[in-house]
This record gives sequence, C-alpha cells and structure tokens, in this order.
Amino acid sequence: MRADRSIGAVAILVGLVLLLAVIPMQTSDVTDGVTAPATFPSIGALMIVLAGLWQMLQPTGATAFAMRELGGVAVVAGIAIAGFLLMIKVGYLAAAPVMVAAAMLYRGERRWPWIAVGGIVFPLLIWALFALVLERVLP
Amino acid sequence: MFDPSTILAGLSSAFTLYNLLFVIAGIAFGQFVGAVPGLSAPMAIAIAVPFTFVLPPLPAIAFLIGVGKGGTIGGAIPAILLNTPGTPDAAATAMDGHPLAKQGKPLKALKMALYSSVTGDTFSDIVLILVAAPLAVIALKMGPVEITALIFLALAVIAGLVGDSMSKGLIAAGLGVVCASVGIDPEHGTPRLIFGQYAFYEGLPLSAVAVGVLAVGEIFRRLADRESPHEPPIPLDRDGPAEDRRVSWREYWGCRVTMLRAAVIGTVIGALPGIGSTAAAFLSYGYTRSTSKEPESFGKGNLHGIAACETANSAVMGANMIPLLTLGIPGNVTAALIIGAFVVQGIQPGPLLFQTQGELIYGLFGAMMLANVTNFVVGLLGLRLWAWVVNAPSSIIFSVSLLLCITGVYVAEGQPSAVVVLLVFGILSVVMQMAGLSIVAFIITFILSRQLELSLSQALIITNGKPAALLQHPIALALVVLSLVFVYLFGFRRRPKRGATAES
Repeated sequence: MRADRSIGAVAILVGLVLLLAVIPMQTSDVTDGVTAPATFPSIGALMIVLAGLWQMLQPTGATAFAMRELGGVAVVAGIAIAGFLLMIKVGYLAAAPVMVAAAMLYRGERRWPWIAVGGIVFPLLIWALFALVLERVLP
Repeated sequence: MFDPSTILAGLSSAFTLYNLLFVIAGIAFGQFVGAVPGLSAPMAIAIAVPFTFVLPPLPAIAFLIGVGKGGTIGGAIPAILLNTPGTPDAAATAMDGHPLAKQGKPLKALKMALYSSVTGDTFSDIVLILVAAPLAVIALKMGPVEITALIFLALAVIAGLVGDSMSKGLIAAGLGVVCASVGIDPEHGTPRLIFGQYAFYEGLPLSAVAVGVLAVGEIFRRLADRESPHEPPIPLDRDGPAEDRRVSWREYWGCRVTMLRAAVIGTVIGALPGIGSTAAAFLSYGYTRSTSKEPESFGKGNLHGIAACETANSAVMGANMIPLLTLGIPGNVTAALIIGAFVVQGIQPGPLLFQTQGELIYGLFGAMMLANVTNFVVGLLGLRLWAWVVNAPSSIIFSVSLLLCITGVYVAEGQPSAVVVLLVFGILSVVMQMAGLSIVAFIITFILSRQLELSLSQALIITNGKPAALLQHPIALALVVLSLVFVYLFGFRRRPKRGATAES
C-alpha cells in the first residue's frame, strides 16, 4: 500500500517537472494554429499528474520492487551497453561474441561447449546473415 | 469490367511453379525476419525490394506479398515462445500465447496463431478481391475527423487492458503520450523535447521503443534471474498428450466468432491509413476479452485471446492493398514500399489499374491466395523448427536474443542512437513492470498518439474547433458515442473490485 502511494507521489513529481520545466524549455512558442507544440506533451504530463494524485489518494494495483532483481537487471543492461559501445569501437565481429559470452556467464552458464556455441557460432551466423546475405551495414 | 477471360488468364499466370517458388521464398524470408526482434514486415519488404528489380512483375509482387504475409506470423513466434514479441503487433499475442506455452503447450499456441493468422489474411484477401472498390470509396470518406474518432474508440476499448489499476494505466498512458511527442510537431514543424539531439527530429524510433519495452525488458529480467540456466525457456513435452501439441477442429471452430469479428476489425483498420496492425490486434483482443463470458481466463492461455490478435493483425495485410490497388494511395509503410515496387515494374496503381492491367491484378489475387496456402504449410514446418530451437538452454536463448534485438534495431534504424533508445526503454520497461504500470497502455498510446495528434489538429482546423460541427460528420459522431459507451462498459463497469488481481 505504501509503495503504491509512493508511485503516485513519484508520478506527480515527474508530471510536474515535465509540465513546469521540461516542456516549456523544450517546445517553441507559436502565435497561430489550433494547437501549440506544447499542447500534446502537456496533455500527457497532466495525465501523469492527475493519475498520480488518484493513485496517491486511492492506491490500487500490485507493486513488486525487488532490489536483487533490479541489481541483476542493472548488470545485464551494463553488459548490453558496454557490448554495444565495444561494437562501435572495435566492430561487430569482435564485440558481439564477448557480449553474448558475458551475458551467458552472468546467467550462470558454465559449460564451455554451450558458451562457444552462444558466444561464437550464433554471433557469426547473425553477422553473416545481415552483413553478407542481406548486405546491411553493421557497426 | 467483369471479363471472365481476363480473370482466368490472370489466375492461370499466377498458379505456376515459378511463382510458387518465389512465394515460398518470400514467406520463408518474411517468417524469419518477422521472428527477429526489431525487424518487422515493412523492414523485411524494404530489404527484399531490390531483389525484385530483376524479376518479371507478377513473381516480383508475389514475392513481396509473400514476405509481408510471412512477416505477420513471424512476429508471433518469439512472442509466444519467449514473451519477446518480434513485432509490436504481436505484443497482444504474447498475452495469452506465452502463458499457454509455459503450460507446456508451445506448439498448440503457435498453431493457433498460425491458423488464425491465415484465416484473417484469407478473409481480408477475399474482401479485397470481391469488394475492394466500394470499400475504398467508403474509406475515402474517413477524413481526419473520423480517424480521430476511430482512434478514440480504439483507446476506449483498449482501456479495458490496463489491468486492475486504472490510475496506474493512466500514468503509463501519459508517459506514452509524452514519449510520442518527441520530435517535430505535426502542425508547426518545430522540434520539441529533443534536448539538442537531431537524431530524434523524426521522433523516438518506433521499432527501438517497441522492442525495448516489449522484448528487451523481458530479456533483461530473464537474464538477471540466474536460477536454472540450463533449463530451456519453456517446457516442451514431446511425450505428453497429442492434444497439447495440436489445435483440434473443435477448438478452431469454437473460435469462429472471435476470428470473424477480429477479421472484420483488421480489414476495416487495414483499409484506413495510419492506424495499423498493432492497434487492430489490441482492439480485437480488448473487445474479445471484455465481451467474453470468462474474462478472467484471458492472460492465462486462452485460445480466443491468440485468435483475436493474430486474425486481426493479419487481416490488416490484405486490406492494406484496398486503397493501394483501387485508388493508388498507400495506407501505410508496407503499402508504400509495394507501390514503389509496382512503379519500378512499370505499373501505375490507381483507378485505371483494373482496366489496363486486369490480367496482372487477377494474377496478383491468385498469388495472394497461393501465398495464404503456402504460409500455412511453411508455417507448420517452421513452427516445429522454432519450437525445437527454443529447447536450447535459456542462458543461450536470451543472450542471443539480446544480440538479435540490438542488431535488428541497428539495421532497421541505421543509427547508434536507436540502440541507446532500445536499451533505455528496456530498463524503463523493467521499472514500469515492477511498479505495476501497464506496458501495454504505454506502447499503445505511444503508437497511436502520433496519428492522433496529426488527425486531431487537422480535425480541429476542419471543424474550427467547434464540437457542434461533429453533427456534420455522422460517422465520427457515432464513433464518439460508441467510445463513451465502451469506456463505461469496459473501463469501469467490468473493472475488478479493489484488491482483486487481474492478469494483464
């Protein structure tokens, strides 16, 4: 119940920041037309504020924040981001196997034949399909 | 006009081994690309178009039609097996398809998706063949005012899918509207919410946001869950009862009303520009669940849920061709790519097409029917292959899926910023799911908001901002009234009492 109320409070905060700071700074003022550039995002922000208020006053739904899972997701996201940055730096063929193997190791895979299949064979196949067969540009 | 010899000549030119081979190739390619997260049917067609330049007109168009049809079922494969939709329009399929797969019935779920996809596709093709011209004229009467009202109707029906908390659903929808507002505003052409990043002038890339929220979030969670890395993502019991691996005629026939309604929804939405197959799938799913006698069984592996989504999103495919062939107007990206292929082949789509190229058009219709049968056969073989592939350890499946998502979005968008958006929205998806915010509400409003803003500003200009002007648009008025009825029926009246849980 308390976590559900907190989600309402966070939503109000996010909506107000959008409504009062971000949207005015990131949209242009216009004098003509039936809708202003700020109209639609403001409607969205207002929805967030009002629904957040509703959620705070009358909390509903289930909230399941698990810090351990969130930490795990952060590690996996870190592997993905680092893998992609590596792709841009050293190229797809060199970075993709490292990324897949790192993700497999984090997932708990310790069998080297499977790590070889996932980390070498699949990235090579995907690269061959996109770069050679479909002639698409990869990082 | 109606010349039997032209029709027969067209059909006979379609039913050749040469054309069949191109249809099979197109469908196999479409199914594969559709199954790769980030790559959708339009992307598959965009990749395939250059291959058709060296072909005669009929095999070329038949190949592209095959790619499009294969792409629609391809998206459902990862949605059902991994809960990571390959295309946004398959997201609704995952809601019942994945729970059924988790019960040890992945082949049953995949086959239901295939059967209903082919049914929806065939229905809209028949409508195209029989009544394309009158339907196109009706579609032309749907101006911005009517389109706006139709989007409101879609949102009203989909409101029933936000879960057990309307307030959280609205928070998610509000976020969807804000994210959809990034980029050039449609009325004045000024950039907004881009924070100096010119890569976002065109808005946040749809494929990156959709795959990030629907697929990458799930992949992150499954990779973060470090238990049983050697187990496959879903159990596949090959020694279990045969009825767990097939869809009986009784089960298929039991979904006939659902499929008919979904096919009509998909055909109507497909004939209109700008709304698309994702909205059709969710609209059909929302309506089917809300009108079901057992709404609580949805989200737990109900065959009607799979049938509603797959029939509707596949029916959009054939209906897309209605304005294209009869008026020369492409209703969406897929149709625009096909019109490009027509022009390259020296064919000018439009009202005179049936007169000047009658044999080719009836050949095309024949190829479409051929493609439906082929889609069914290739699909049956392909589904077994995919079900076998996901029998590998989950450590390899989800790690490789993550790489496919990154590769697919990079190829689709062609810029690194799209991959950043993909990963950011993957993290956002996890946070939203933990907070109980509906990712369905988010993605639907994200997809529909752009078209809604454009149509709404056009509608306000047409009506001078006066609601009374709606009276001059009876179709729009009827749709608005229907929306209000649906908001009451599906949004409030049938909402579970507080404390009760809902599966979506």
